[in-house]
This record gives sequence, C-alpha cells and structure tokens, in this order.
Amino acid sequence: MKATTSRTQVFVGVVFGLLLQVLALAIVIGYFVHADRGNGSWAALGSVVLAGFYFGMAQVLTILPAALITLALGRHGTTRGLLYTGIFLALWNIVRLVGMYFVFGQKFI
Amino acid sequence: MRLSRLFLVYLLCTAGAICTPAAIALFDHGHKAVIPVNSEKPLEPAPVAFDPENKDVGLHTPGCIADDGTEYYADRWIAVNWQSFHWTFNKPTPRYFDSGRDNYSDGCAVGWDETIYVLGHIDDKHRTLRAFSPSGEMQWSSQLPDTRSDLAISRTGTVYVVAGPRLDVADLMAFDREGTLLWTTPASRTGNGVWELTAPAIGPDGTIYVISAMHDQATLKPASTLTAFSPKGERLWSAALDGLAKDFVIGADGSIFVHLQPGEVVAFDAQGHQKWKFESGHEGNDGSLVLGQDGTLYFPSRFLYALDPQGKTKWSFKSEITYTKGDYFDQPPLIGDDGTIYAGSCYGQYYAITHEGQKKWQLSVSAEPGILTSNGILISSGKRYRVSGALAKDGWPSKNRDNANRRSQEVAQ
Repeated sequence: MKATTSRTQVFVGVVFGLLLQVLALAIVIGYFVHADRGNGSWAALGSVVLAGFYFGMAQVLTILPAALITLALGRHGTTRGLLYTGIFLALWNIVRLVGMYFVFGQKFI
Repeated sequence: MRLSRLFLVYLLCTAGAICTPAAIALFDHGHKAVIPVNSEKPLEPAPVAFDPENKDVGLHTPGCIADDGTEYYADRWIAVNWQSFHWTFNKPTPRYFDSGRDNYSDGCAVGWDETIYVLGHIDDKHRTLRAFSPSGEMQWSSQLPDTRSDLAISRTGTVYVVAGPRLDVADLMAFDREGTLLWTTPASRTGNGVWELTAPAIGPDGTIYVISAMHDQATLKPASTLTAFSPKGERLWSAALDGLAKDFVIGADGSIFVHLQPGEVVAFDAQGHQKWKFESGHEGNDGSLVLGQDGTLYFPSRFLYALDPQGKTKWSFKSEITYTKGDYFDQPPLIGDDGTIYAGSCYGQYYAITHEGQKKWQLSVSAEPGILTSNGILISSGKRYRVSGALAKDGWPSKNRDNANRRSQEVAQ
C-alpha cells in the first residue's frame, strides 16, 4: 500500500484525535463509577494516578492505537494529525497540572 | 519532521503527562517538609503511661471528678444496663451505685455540695436529669425533652440546662437543689443543620450565658446569638454573631469568648459589647477554647494559638505533621497550674507545651480530650500519665472549666 500524506489527511487526523478524547473521557468516567463503588483495584488507584491517567493513559489507549492503525493503512497524514493532537494534549495537560498546583495547591499551606 | 521522530516526541510528551502528577506530589511533599513546624527537641522526656490501681476502671476516662478526688464513671461497656459507679482514686475500692434500671448515663457533673448530677436517657425520646448523694442514693429525678445540653451548676445549687424538643425551641431551665423547676425561658433551638445544644455557663456575678447557633432558613448562612440571663431568668442582653457558635468560655473579669466554627473567636465584655475578633483562617474542625490563669486564650484551630487579652497572637504551635499529613489540633486543651498546656491533635500527636509555646514533651498516641486531675494525673483515652501539675484553678482551664463540669466562673462569697 502506497503511503500518502496531505494537509487534508493531517486535518482529518487532528479532528479524529479530538473526537477520540470522548472515548478517553468515557474511560475516566468509568473509572469514577468504579471508584465510587469501591470496586477492587480501580478504587485502589489514588487521585494522583487518576490525574495522570486521564490525559496520559487515556491518550495512549486512544490516540496511539489509532495512529498505529492509520500508519499501517498508509495514511501518514492522518497519523501525523493524530500525533500532533496527542502532543498538544499531553503538553497542555502538563501546563494545566503545574498551573493548578501553583494557583490552588499553594493556598492550603 | 520524520514520522518516526514525531512518534518519539509524542511518546515522550505522553510519558511526561503521565509522570507530572507524581512529580508534583514529590515536589509538594518536599516543599511541605521544609516549612517550619514545632519539630524541635522536647525539653523533657514524655511521661510513661501507668495502669489505674482499680482494674474495673480499665481504659475508661471519668465523666466527672469531685473536689475530694472521687472519680465518677458511666460504665458504657455493660451492654444491658449501663450503670454508674464511682471510685475514689486514693482508695482503690470502687463503690457502685445503681443509676436506675433501663437508664443510660450520658454524662455527669458534681455540685458545690458534692451532689452528683447525672444526665441520662431511657430511650431516644426520654431524657433524664437525676441527682445522687455522694453515697449513691438518688435524691430526685426529672424528665427532660429529647435534646439537651450539658449542665452548669451555680454555687447556690441551681442547676441550669438548655433543653427542648428536636427541631424546635429549646429553653434554659433552672432546677433548685431539690429538683424543683424554678423557671424556664426560651434560649436556643435545634434544626437547620444544628443538632446539639451548647451548655450554658455562669459568669463571675452569677449571670447565665447561653449561645444559640442557627443556619438562616432562607439564606442558609450561619447566625448565632449570645444571650445573658439573670439568675431569676430575666433576659439581660443579646449579641448577634455572624457565624456558627460552637462553645464559649468566661474570664474572671466577666469577658466572654465565643468560638465560631470554623476558625474564629469573638470576645465580649460582661455587658455584651464586642471587644475583638480573631480569625485563624482555618476552615476545618477546631477544638474548644480554654483560658489560662494569666488571661491568655488558647485556641486550637489547625495550629494551637495563644492569644493575649487583646486578641493578638502571642505564639502558635504547629504539630510536626501539620503540612506533611494535614494534622491539626481539634481537641479541647487542658491547662495545668504550672501553666503547661496539654493539647492533642487529630492524627495522634499529644503535646505538653510551656506557656511560652515551647515543646515540653510529645507523645504519639491516639488521644481523646483528656482530664487532668487535682493530683497531677493526666487521663487520656483511659491511659494515665503523671505530669508536672494539677488542673489550673483559675481561668477556664478545661472545656467545662473544672473536672466537676460545673461551667461556672462564680466567685466564692
């Protein structure tokens, strides 16, 4: 299969990556539901792990498989779009967490 | 950028996002660990716990102690009929007396004439106030409404209690030493998130003070009232408080210090004029106020604050695990006659602190608000420790002022 790439494919990848975050959100909501009911190992996960889980593991579980699939299909543009979205969300998540800590975390000291 | 490199950047960024919370937690712990707390070396070694001479007492803490040292216990561990018995500390032979069949003892106080007043209940609806002679004979018994406060006892033998039906107006009730209801007047109420009534207290001139704490029904904002009554039940004055009053203490000069939950103290003079207000900024549970012999007010509100008579902070004492584990002082402290303050924290740190705010000794025990006896024994969670002094006689050195739970600052005539 011939690899293809175009601006349109990149755009499609970005949109696809953003849509996949709905799935990531569903995973996290699933976590909350299980945690509230105190179900085994899910509930044992701490809030720190949860915070990392959301845009960390949820991204990996959604964007990475999608990127690998589009890569295998030769849709390199879509793969790029997905990876750009993933990189942006990961960096945004780091900035958000650090910002929240310094804005809200400090006032409790 | 080549696709393989883009993959690498993506994976690195994702790994960074996953690791960020843990990195923040590590940074936060390291940061909190270096904030100054009272981690200095104690001035003295901690006292060693010893067992009571009477094994029946077990790990119980007395409900009240008479001036002659007799300790009164409500034995809550007898499942069928909870009975009260009393025991003289220096004579370790307990003398038991039956508090009445089917009557459960909730608390006690000892009058100035050694009469023992026992607050109890038969069931959720039937509350009782009973008076016993020191030899254990019941002198009288009176029914109380289903919600009631602890007692205050005047030097004339009048017993004051705030009581009323649940979700309704509660009255300040005055009983004479024969158990006759002298008078009753509306003073407080329960409902709107307030289920407990604060005990009245008696000022140096015999004035009785009552606080009423409420949430406003419309706005749900907390609002309280401090009211002064004459010994005949006449309303003298009222002062509005912008917060939920939890407890209060009275100084030797008649000043009233009201604790507003969370984290505030308001001081009034004996005529009801506000003198000052202190705010700790803490939004969690506080402990009760106590007042030292020199007029220093001790306020457990996350830290233990020592406030001078003008409401200014003299010093604050911080549990060693204040920041690393979120520890805070939430129990009523005790003040010894040598000025030592005994204060327990939520996460099992018990400190003896000098009146200058230095750590005297420290115990890592899960301690309940204790009792400091007149012969220098600190009893906390049933464990006994010999300490450097007895409970102070002046000021308001414990939650109910003395071990007899009289809640009275009256001056002897």
